[in-house]
Amino acid sequence: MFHSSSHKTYWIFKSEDELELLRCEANQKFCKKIMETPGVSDSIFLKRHEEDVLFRLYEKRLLDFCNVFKPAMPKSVVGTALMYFRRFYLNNSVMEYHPRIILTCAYLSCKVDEFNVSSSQFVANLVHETPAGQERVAEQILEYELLLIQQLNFHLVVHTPYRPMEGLLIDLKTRYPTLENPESLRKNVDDFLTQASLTDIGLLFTPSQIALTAILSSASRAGLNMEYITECLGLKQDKQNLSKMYDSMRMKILMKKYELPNPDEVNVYKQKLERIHAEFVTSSSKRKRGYEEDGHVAKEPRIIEEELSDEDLM
Amino acid sequence: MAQTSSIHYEPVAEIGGGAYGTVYKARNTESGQFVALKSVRVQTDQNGLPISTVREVALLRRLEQFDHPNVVRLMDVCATQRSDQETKVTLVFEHVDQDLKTYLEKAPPAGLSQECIKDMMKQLLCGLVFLHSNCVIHRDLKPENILVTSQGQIKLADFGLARIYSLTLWYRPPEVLLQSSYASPVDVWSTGCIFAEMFRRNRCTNCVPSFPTCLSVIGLPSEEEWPSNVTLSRKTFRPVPPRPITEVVPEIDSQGVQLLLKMLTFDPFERISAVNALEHQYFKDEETATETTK
Repeated sequence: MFHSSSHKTYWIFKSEDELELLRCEANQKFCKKIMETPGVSDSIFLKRHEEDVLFRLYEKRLLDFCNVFKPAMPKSVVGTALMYFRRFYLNNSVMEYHPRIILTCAYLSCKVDEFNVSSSQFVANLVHETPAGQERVAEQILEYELLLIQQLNFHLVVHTPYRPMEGLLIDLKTRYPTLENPESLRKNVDDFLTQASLTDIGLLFTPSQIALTAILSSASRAGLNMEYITECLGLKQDKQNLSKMYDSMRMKILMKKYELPNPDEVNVYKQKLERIHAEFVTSSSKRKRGYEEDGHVAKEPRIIEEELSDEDLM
Repeated sequence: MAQTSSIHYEPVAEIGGGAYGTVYKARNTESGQFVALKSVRVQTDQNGLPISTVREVALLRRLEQFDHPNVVRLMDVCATQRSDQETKVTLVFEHVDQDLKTYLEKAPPAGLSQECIKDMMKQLLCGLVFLHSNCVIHRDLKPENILVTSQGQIKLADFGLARIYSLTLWYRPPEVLLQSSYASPVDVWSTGCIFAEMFRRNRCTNCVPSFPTCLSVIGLPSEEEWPSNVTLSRKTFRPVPPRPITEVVPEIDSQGVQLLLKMLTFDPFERISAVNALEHQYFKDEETATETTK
């Protein structure tokens, strides 16, 4: 299924450079649009690396929210939500659309992956919120829903590495009878996949490549016989092909590069972001709500920022 | 690269309508290419867009990747929020000038040739196999939803957002009319009705489409075949013997009769599947005939 999917066709990229170029373009596009306003200095804008810090902050918040969600959110739903968030900001700047869209990413992934929760059930997970606050957040989640779907170009089916990972574990159980407890690998595999989901790995590698790397990495950490493992997984025949498919070094470099944002930096950039949103990202409520204004159909997002503070979310 | 464009579509003419809204022939203002716009009004509630709509649009987007020759191509999806309670989802399809209904109406007085019917049925079933193998039930197969290109290529249309459409009475299988549970065999029944219609060039019965009408062709099924999970008891209907298919469709050959009977089998579990229908001897005869002439 993956080979004929929109995921493979549109959302797997050749290199980190290609991704960076897209993000730079999104940043510049927003800056250029705002610079048309007289008297605007470019010092007010977030630089690319500053955007990245905020992106990582909100992405981590999304992961934390999903991890404590009640009822427990399946890993594939979490993976899909994180992928939506990453895809969304490939072509959009955080300055144009506030990263609090994270909750809409999670809500939409619940719908698409058939983890059925109502909006009220969903926002009830915002435990620090008053009922009125939860209602306000629910409204905002839904206001962003159409925008998110449009910006993902309606490509909503995400292939996460969890299914191939289960398949590989089954392979190990059936072909490595002397391995006492294959399930003991799961913890490290899950950690690897979670860590990978916070990087661009999902935009550069296929789900099965990621799953395979996770299994081999976990097996290696457990001190298992790697020769035998690769043989069990049917990878022994062609070492060259295996290294190409595995490509673990590139993944590990990406994972090593990842670091949580510095709180001091975060505060500075967040202030900048809030100022940009307060000054430049406003519009009439008619447009904000996405009402149709013209006679013919146009593919244009019609939803703009809702004035909710950061604290409303977390 | 998956990036949302700002493509505009300008309606040129209204080309149809249905339970789901109006269909327009439109022009892509950038390329000048003609497309078909199908707008569906979706009711939104406190949970936003319905899960069914979100999933079905996602599925359509996924199917689009296969670019199947017998399924109309989805080129774009647009959505606009009309109010808090309603969102308009517009599906942008490739535009094909005529449907099977028009094609049959325009056919010469002598009717379509056996080869032409066989070829069209084969294409129709190919499209259906593709949908079924991707877990999509069309649910509303009828000549109006089967497009025919100028090259005689068959393309299935209107299989998206299926829950919004209402299945047309003429092509409803018994399990739907009896309000029993149903799955992919519903499409095979509808295809059988269309198969017969290709010979007759009009609908299979002259009276109001109803369950008794369909019984007049296939006969009243036995007690064992009657579904248990329905409100209508078998006793409600008077016993009717089946009519010979050749009475209903005189021009059909013996292999065609066999295939049609398998498609119009009362019990959906016994009804032939689309994939098995494609393998039927009816289509093999054509191959052997062409091989012997070589």
